[in-house]
Amino acid sequence: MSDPGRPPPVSAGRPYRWLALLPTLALCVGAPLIDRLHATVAGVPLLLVWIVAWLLLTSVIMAVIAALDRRMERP
Amino acid sequence: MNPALLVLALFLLLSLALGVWARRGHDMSLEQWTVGGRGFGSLFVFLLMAGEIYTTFTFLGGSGWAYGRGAPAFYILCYGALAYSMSYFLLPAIWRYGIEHRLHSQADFFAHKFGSPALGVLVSLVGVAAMVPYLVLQLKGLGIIVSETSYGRISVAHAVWISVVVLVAYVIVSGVRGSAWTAVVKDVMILAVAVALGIYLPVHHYGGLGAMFRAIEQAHPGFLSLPARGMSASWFVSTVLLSSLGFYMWPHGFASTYTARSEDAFRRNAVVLPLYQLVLLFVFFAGFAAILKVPGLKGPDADLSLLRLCRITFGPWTVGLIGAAGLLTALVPGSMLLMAASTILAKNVYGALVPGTSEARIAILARWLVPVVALVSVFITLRGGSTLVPYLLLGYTFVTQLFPALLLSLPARRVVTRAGAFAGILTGVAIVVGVQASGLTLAKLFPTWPSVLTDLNIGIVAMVANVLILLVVSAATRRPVPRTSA
Repeated sequence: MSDPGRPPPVSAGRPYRWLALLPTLALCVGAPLIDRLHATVAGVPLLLVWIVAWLLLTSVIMAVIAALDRRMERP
Repeated sequence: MNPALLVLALFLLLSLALGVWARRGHDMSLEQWTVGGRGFGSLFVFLLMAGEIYTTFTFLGGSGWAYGRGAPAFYILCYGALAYSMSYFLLPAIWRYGIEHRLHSQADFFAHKFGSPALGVLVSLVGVAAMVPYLVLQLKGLGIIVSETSYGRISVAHAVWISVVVLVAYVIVSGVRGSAWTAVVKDVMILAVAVALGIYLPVHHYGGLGAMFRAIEQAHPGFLSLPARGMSASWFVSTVLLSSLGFYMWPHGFASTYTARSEDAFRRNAVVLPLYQLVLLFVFFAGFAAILKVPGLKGPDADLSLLRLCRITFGPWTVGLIGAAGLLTALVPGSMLLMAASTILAKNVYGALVPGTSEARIAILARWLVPVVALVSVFITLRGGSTLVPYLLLGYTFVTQLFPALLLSLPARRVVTRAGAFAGILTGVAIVVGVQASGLTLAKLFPTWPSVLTDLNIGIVAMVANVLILLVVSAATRRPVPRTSA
């Protein structure tokens, strides 16, 4: 599939990179489902809480990927 | 002059001074003026990129939509996070290619990747078409800020004219280094102001966040959930996708990628910038707080809600400070947009159409185009119309059409041909322009279709057509021997 001398696909040998898809799933699939519950947390709409939680988790996930990448790339 | 306007004027002078100071000792060649010379460290790139997301759109548009629309405004919180998770993989690839070939712009990237200067021109025109509504948004925001901090003494139309003069002066004085330093001041200010307002306003007026949301739900049942039609879940998801895919397709964002010194900057940004988005949460709180306290702002006036609430809550000095934070959120991105649009028209459109134009001539032309682009934006601004958010969405419907060709140009095995890229982008843009010009919507075109389909953002529908045409034309025009990239 890949030409010689070309970089391999971004996920080759680094399955943990698939974690980066989680925020997209949570916000594009999860958010509309959460919205249907019409629930609140201490008065605050659950939808908003969910989105904010995933902003934080996005940062955590990207930090994990970055840390693992650094370990892979260490000579 | 009232104290609020005085504070505003002081901050304006401060940002101009920063621009002059940052420029001293630097030879302003075209590359200096736009890319700032390569070799900004990760901190600078971070600030430049952060500077692009905190705009008037965040400050007034975000609160205005929370006030006027409710839950659909939450889309603004989502797309940044998705874009950053993607940027970790996308930006290093773009950066590496740019450094290797000494590229300055997004048009250079496309022209070089596909070996087609004409494609560079097309991409430039799409980029400028997208940047104009974004610039209009900043001008509208500046107009609102100046007019509101004058407590209505300066009309919005006059305020827009004042703003455009300020913006042009700022661009001519500062260039990218000035923007980066002002971005520091601006980020600190907007952070402090947004968080303070987002906490203080709900507590002061309602006794707390939960109490505020309960009061809103009681007065407007269903306002804090996505509606069943119109800005429904289907609109929400397609708009989040449109905005996150288009996030890095803005020509100015692309260009600031090239100011990085190493790939690590992008990785760090992907970790830190999602947290930056949290500022929006506080902006939303402030917008929500306005719903029951300054009711009755209809249509485009919803964007006034934040400053109106501040005017009844605080004294003029504080209103001035809040206005100053707003001023910077319009000035910094506005200057970036104005500079980028002018440079692109001079270098990537004129320069590509008239080969052999000297660098110096292009630099002069770029500077003369600054007031021209600004004037065009003023006329669109003064025509009025919608709230701030739809202007950015309009920009995204254009700029996201560049994403499929860009993404598919990256893999080793070339999926997309030159003709495929042309056909795809033209198809997407034609659909967007057609829908915009005719004023039609999917719901009007296909009244019998379920709203799950007709609520889709038209930009995403155009992008799907774009991808299909791109793949079909690429398959039809592929050469028997795979071409290796230049």
